[in-house]
Amino acid sequence: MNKDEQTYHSIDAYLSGELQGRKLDEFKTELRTNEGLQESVNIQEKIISAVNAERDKELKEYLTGKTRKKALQIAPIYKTWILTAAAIAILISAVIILIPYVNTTPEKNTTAIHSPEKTKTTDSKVYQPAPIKETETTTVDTQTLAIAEVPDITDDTEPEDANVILEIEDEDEFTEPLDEQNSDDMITSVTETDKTTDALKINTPVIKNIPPDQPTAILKSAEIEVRGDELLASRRFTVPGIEPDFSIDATRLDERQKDSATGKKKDENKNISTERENVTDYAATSREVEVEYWKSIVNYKGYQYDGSKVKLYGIDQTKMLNFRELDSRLYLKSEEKQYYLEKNKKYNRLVEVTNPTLLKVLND
Amino acid sequence: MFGIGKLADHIIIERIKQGDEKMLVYLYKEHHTMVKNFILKNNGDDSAVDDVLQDTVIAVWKNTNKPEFLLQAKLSTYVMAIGKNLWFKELKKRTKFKLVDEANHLGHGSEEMNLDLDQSIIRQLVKDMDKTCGKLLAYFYFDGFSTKVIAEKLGYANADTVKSKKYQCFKKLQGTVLATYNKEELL
Repeated sequence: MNKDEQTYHSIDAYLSGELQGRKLDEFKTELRTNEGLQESVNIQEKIISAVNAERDKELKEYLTGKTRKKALQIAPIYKTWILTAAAIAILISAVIILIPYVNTTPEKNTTAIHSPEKTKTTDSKVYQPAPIKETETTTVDTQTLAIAEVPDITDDTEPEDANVILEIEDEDEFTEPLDEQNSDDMITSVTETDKTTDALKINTPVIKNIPPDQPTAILKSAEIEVRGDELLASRRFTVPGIEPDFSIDATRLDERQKDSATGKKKDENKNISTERENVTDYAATSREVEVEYWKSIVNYKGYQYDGSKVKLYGIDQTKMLNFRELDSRLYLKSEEKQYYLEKNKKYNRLVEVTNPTLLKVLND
Repeated sequence: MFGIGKLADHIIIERIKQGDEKMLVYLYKEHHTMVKNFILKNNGDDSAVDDVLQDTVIAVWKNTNKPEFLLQAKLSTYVMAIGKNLWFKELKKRTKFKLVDEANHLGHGSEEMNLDLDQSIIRQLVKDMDKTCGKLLAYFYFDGFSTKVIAEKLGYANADTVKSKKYQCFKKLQGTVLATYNKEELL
């Protein structure tokens, strides 16, 4: 190693901070006095600085290339995937939306005829637009229910299910005039209306009496009438509550009370007081129920009972009806048959009571 | 990242010491979100993130190759500490910018301009020099690789050969620089 190389390594060590102790002191002393050394240190420092700056730049370029290059490469790939996915999604949704229209193109005429704006009605019985939404719901509900039970809308007089109350062969038994029924104790008031509820007048046209073999012809006809459920009459019935020990009357109770006064046992007194309570209970449980007779547009036969009002569908208003309540349950007697009325907001079919014990209690 | 998932700190350090430049990219990507959030929360914007993060990663690279380097915390903590320092330095620079600008107007900038000119000339000469020599000098002065690692990377026989080659390369560059300056002076 020559002197020049030694100087180079000494300057290198001095500039990097590796030179320490006596060697560093000696170098500093030399540096103060030796101008050639000063120049060498100065040039070497500049060269090292330039080398460092160039390497720093090189590494930064390397980093930039590695980090941004990938981002640029990834972006178009993602873009392609996203665009492809979006195009597929649009196509699928377009097909889903268009399929129903493609299949039902011939029905456009039907829709046009059904439009309320284009339908002109001259008949006074034809229903007008209904402002009350609730009634509309009633109409739709019964129709839907009846459709679910497969009604035959082509024939109004066709007999239906055997369980339904209006399956009447022996009509004479219940063909009493309305006035005669008024004499019955059970009926407290009669409001014979024979009216068509205004609320049932609805805007949407519905096909009336469509012959099953010519549905298309009807659809194409100019005038289509809309009919809803029709309220025929409403009455109030007294509903007596039935109690098992109801047979004891007040006179008999008084007699027993007298006996107890002359020295009978206290147990008997208890029995008497219980029996009195029974009588009182009966009086309290007797109540009135409003009964409405409805005619369903689809000849639905059944009832709706909400606890205070009974809506009877498809039941002749001239027939004698009898209501009773046992254990907070309402029973309807018609044509010597007992039917259980379930309390809920749904439309129900009449279900006949078949339990012999219950029938015996109800018929007593 | 490179199909190997997350690397342990000691593996990263070891690879940096071996001169694996992929570790620079790894560190950059691993700490990008952290450094970015810090800068954005401390009066910074997106444009500053890349520069600060590059400086941070390169500082970690250089420090790791120093003989006295000893990692006493998690590497991510160390990287963040350097990143924070660099960003605060940058903020100080930005606040002092006006003062420096005024000083340049007063004529103190002429000397600095000469220095910059010198630096750019020497850098150009470094760029134009022999590639192996340039790498050797860069590995030694900037990266701080040991002579053993440099020997392995550049295919030299041993550490002594590296020392000798380094001197030769430096002298060559110094000669070019001196010759250029003489020409300049002549011109």
